[in-house]
Amino acid sequence: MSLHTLTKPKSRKEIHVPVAQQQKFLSGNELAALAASQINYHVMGYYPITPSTEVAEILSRMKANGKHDIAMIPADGEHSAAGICYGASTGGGRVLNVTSSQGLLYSLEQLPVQSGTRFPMVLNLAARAINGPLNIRCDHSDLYFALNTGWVILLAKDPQAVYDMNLLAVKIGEHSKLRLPVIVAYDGFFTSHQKRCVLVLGDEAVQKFVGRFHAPLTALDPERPVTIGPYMNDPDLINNKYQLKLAFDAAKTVIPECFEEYAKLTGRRYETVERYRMADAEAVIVLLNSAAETARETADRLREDHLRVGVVSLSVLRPFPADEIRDALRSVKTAVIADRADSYGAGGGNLSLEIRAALQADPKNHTLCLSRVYGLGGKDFTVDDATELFNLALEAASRKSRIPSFDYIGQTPGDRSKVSGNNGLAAAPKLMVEEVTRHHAHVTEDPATGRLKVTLDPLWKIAPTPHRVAPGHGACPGCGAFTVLKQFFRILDGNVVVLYQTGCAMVVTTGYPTTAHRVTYLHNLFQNGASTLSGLVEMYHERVRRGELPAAQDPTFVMVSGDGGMDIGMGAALGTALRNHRMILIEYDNEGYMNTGGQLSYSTPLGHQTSTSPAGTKSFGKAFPHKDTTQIFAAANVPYVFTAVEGFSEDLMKKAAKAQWYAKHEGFVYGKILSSCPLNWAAPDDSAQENLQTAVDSCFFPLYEVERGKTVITYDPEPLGRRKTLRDWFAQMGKTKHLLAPQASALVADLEKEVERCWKRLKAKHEHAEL
Amino acid sequence: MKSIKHPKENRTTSLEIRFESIGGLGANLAGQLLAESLALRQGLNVSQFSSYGSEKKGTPVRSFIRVAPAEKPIRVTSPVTEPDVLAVFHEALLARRSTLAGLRADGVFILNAPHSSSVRLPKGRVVLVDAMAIAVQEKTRINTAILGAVAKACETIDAKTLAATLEEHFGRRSAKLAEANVKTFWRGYNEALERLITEGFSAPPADGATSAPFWGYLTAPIGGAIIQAGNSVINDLSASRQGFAPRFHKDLCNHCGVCDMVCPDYCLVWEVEDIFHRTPADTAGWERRAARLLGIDYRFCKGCLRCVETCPSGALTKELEGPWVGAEQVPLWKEETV
Repeated sequence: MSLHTLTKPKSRKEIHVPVAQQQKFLSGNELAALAASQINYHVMGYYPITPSTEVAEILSRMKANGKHDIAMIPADGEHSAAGICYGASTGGGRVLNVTSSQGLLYSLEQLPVQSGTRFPMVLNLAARAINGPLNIRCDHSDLYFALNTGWVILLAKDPQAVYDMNLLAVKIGEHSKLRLPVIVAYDGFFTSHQKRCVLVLGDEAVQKFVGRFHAPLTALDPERPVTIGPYMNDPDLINNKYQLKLAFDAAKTVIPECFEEYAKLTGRRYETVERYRMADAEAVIVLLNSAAETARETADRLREDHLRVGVVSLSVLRPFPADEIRDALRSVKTAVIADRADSYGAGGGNLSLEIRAALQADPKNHTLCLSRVYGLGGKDFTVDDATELFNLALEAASRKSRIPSFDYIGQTPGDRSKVSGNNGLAAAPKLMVEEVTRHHAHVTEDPATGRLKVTLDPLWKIAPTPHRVAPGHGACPGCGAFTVLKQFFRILDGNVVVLYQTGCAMVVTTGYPTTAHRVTYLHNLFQNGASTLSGLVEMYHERVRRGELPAAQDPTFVMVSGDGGMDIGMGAALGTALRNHRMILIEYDNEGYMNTGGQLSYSTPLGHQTSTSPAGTKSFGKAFPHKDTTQIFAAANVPYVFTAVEGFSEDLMKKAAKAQWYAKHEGFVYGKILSSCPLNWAAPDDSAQENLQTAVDSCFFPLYEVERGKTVITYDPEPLGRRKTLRDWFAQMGKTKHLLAPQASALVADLEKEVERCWKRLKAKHEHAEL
Repeated sequence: MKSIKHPKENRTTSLEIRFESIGGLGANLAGQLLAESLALRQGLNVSQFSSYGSEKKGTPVRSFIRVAPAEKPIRVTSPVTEPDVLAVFHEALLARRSTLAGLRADGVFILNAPHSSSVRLPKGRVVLVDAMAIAVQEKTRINTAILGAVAKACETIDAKTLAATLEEHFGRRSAKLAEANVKTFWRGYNEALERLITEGFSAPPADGATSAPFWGYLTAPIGGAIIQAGNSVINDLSASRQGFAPRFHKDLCNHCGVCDMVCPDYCLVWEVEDIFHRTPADTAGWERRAARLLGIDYRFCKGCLRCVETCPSGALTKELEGPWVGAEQVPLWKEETV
């Protein structure tokens, strides 16, 4: 072990550059945020998605302390985030967005509009696999969807390159010959979350390098009214697209010029095609981003054995540097082109297909190309993997034996002998429907009031009822979502089919190859769980009508969403409510995007801290009030809407019984259930009861139901003498303690006024049937 | 051209560190602070990252650090598979084969455990530090105590420099927090006990650090479906507890069921007398003794103590973890079903 050999060097290798640079130890995301703050974009529209979310979090923290002026706009979904960015970019300022995976796909239709109407902006893409099944780790399947969007695509192989490419992206995209939006793509986790020693410029040097942005036209110049985005059919559209093509032609010279200017400034030189040990290389692997770094490391080791190996990688994916690729591979015997995403059915990933096409245009080229797919869904690309690819290249060069032109590396066949028997993957004992159908709630219709009456078994009778969710799920200690699920599901009788919207409860119950669900479970996209389940509901009824399924099966369809899912999925959920499908939607509301690290949701109350609404010298936390989702659904006039809280289990369970009755007899049910998140509320795991009690007693979260249009408050703290103040509640959580400071008193007074107004309005509705 | 073998000992880094932990114990932060100290204060070339999924407490977390001389590049981004220094934040993690995988024969193994621990130890240099006891006493977290032990075991790390890094980091929040953490760090440093184990087992090979998937493309149901309902019961989440567990006192329990309403881990075990074989019409005849709380299945209990918070009769109390947990374990299902 060479622990003793490391000594502090006298100084780092001196590079003679015109400006001073500072050494930092930062990750790719941290550097994307630092670059953004130095560029001081005008507007950032964003929506949280792993692994890119950190950029918005860091910029929010900086903003809370006055470290930049970027207007940070938390969107209600990536489609909206991209829309915010597009709108902002037509206004003549600088615009930033950051996303990954489904976020890119959800905003995909905005991307060609951005480029087709020629408004530059920068989108950082922390590359991640796309669904389904859902995977949060790195591959390039999201990136490849951007290839045809008309955006310049710069690739950043390591954190230093993330910083550099972010500065270059502004310069390149705004160039008068280009006017193009730019993606900076770096590998999720491998680069986004890996900290490295890097050099960064000072703020002034950054400003000088990027210069001032002069938009040739803007939507904010009343002297020059302009129509942006006309209706353009043939024969005109082809000309618009030819203009775009010409801009990409120009980019082929503009980008190297910008790289050169940057090299003079910083000493860091990028090439559109990066060649490593290529001078006499015969066996070469071609790949992108962080994996190319591993390949370089491997090439060094193999070169010590006198093997003529080399590595080619790209810093620019659009425009595709075909000339440089042809040049780099001209005298190479074999090239293994490795893609971190497949173009299914095409015989190779996109990089591989494009390189093959580029070489085909060179009559002198005789390189044998093999295509391989590696590292999907975050599977590490190790020195061993790189060695395997080099080996393949060497073998193909030396032997006549047939090596498949296209294949994967790193896949596992599995052991067929293991398939029978349990082999450690035993399931929980099969859950019999009779076992969970305990009739704990007795529901009757009261003809006098038009409301349902519920009598409930005592808790001790309910407690032993088996769960439709098995233990062994991975939720945090004290997670309120699982208390909600337990109380709710225990009351339901008969078969149940569930759909979980993307979020904590979904992720922690279904980590492959285990599932905590003992009943049938579905997951689909974050924004359309409600529509998905409504489709299944109608399939059930149609198959019953056709005699294909027994009506006696009669499942209750329950969608479980977090409050985040009710932001991005609001449109789909409201549509589903308005169509009045026979299903239940319960929202466990923990006041934030806890699955991605506690960002603000529209349910986060005013002033509460989250990772994207931190308190600081310039901020008191979330800047706008919470969304009253319950009233929105009440306005959809569905049969039954309720609020509940996991701390009032009897009230919650009575409402669960009503929910099932209405979903069977009349249609759509929505329930919002306040649910503790000790981690992101910064409260002890075992303080939930008191905390939730105070949320209710302060009338911030009143317990009520709207049954066939009639509002009834089911718990009123006032006659019981239990009314508390908001401050009583704020004192119990780390996320709200800053609101007790005198400086926050105006904000708290506003919130108190709003809470009181809503409470009084609710009481009026309770008292008057017509309201 | 000849075919090649995989290169073996050929790395450019000089020191590779792996922390094995559980979300919430602060391994990621510890890794970051150590790496930052080595990079910015000791002038070395360093990379650091953690492997974790979504942002949960209680799930396994690994933190990796690679260190090289300033002029040498670090280009490998994959996890450290053959650590020189391996620190394990929780004894329960030793049950996983992957935890110790690849530890170098000349490496050092650091474990958060009392010096008296009877846990089986691997051959070679072993350091035990009772980080949990230190953290409980200092009202801090175990991560800075473990950093103390790591600094003591590894000459490359300058302990004073690392202490200064901690002071600066925690000092941004409060001077008191900084003081407590620096004290925790030095206690970890001073109270770490190194032994040379000669009669131990050998760490599993490096390829054991990443376990092969259970299913493969020939055997997995297509489309990613999981066809074994509720198979999460194979997971053991004991390691999520942070030093405390609820203890059940049967004699004080009136079997009211309140605890069960708030338990998010579904680990309370009830005895039911034949309830679900009765028809609903019989329910009126149920007697109170029909439902009895028997105890807790500690494999699934993450130690949130919400049951203790709600128990109206004092039958559930918050206790420091100890051998009693194993002795009082009540399984939810009989072994043969799971």
